[in-house]
Amino acid sequence: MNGWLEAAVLAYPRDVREGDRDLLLGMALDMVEGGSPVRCEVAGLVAGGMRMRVGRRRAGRAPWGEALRRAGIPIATGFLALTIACTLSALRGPGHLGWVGWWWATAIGGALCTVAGLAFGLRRPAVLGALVLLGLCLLDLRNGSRGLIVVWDVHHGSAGDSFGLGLDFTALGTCGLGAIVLLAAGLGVDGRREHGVRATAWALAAAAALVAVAGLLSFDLWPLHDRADAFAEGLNASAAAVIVAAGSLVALVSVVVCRGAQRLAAALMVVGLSPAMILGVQANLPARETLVLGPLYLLALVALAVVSLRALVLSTLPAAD
Amino acid sequence: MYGAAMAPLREPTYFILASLLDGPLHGYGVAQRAHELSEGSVTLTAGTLYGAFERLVKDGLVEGDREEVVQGRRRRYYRLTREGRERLAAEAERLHAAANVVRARRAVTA
Repeated sequence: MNGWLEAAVLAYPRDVREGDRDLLLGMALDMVEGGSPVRCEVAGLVAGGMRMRVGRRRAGRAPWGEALRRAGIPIATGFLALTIACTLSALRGPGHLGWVGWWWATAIGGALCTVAGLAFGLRRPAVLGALVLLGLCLLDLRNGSRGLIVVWDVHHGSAGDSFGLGLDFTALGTCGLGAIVLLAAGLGVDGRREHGVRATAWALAAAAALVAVAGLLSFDLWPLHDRADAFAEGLNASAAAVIVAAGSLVALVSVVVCRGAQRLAAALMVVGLSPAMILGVQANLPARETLVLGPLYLLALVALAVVSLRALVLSTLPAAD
Repeated sequence: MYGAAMAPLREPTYFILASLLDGPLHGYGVAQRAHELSEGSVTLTAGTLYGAFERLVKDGLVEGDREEVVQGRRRRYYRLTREGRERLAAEAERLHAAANVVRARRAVTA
């Protein structure tokens, strides 16, 4: 009985637990001895604790503007890296360079436009670029075959007794939420910024580094005997998945480590990219042994995404006066 | 019709304040007394009561009186403030007036 009540008291904010834990438990035990069912007291404590937590906060006073300002450029940089990786993939290897087509040219253009708009504090380019990216995400999701397809592929059991599950998603299509966050960041731009050139340069450098690292990683995951094919096919969807996963994991760590607007910004990034994180993780990784990590990775991402959502809903919101 | 400070009291709040009219009581005592006064319609859990006390203390309607430890359990006693008594009396008047509207109407139509 005490165990349930003690666990229920954890619903209260820390300062209440430190000051009045004994009082709450004593009152609840008195009630139970007076005939109140334990489950009612447990439910009452949990509800009271949650009400107190929520009642102390005001969502409208959260630093949304500051958070969107901080999250905008990193998300736009992620989009830039993603579209570059997808474009390189479309080139089908270093020996097949050529015009990538309007689709990917528009995607890179949109990402660049957004990066520059946010970096220089220009609302129109930022919003225009974000709208282009959002449109491409939606079209990619709808058409499927237009963009780069990633396959979420799980196999279980031996060859004679196995089952498999294969789902196809488009790399860009899974980033729709991120594009919406980007659009909000663009709409929130409120004037010219200093150091726009420096911010743009850093974003370009970061995007290039992400593409390079992701390319190396996806190549490294390729089985040794297939590496010739890897060269022939160029960067594949693995690169896009690695970019999304790496960026999202950095954001997740930031959610845990940072506070205030920084934490809210990181949580926005995670929530925006979580579908891509979860769906894109198994993106055509050719080395079958990497699939072993799939379920664990998926579970970790879902758990961390929940942490981020909690951060969005509660922890990042400032206490009311 | 009512300002924020004079909004009608919710039923549990009304009976919590009413239970303190005869003197300071601790949490469980208030829950029992409110249950009696309301003829069983108000049943309070520890979680509800703690939150209500915090709000009422913040609004200045009740205040902590003293603390005791009985059988290893900490108990905090609460008492009505002057403002709390006035607020309760005003609410009782409001309910009385509201009840009279119906009584008078019933007397006319009966």
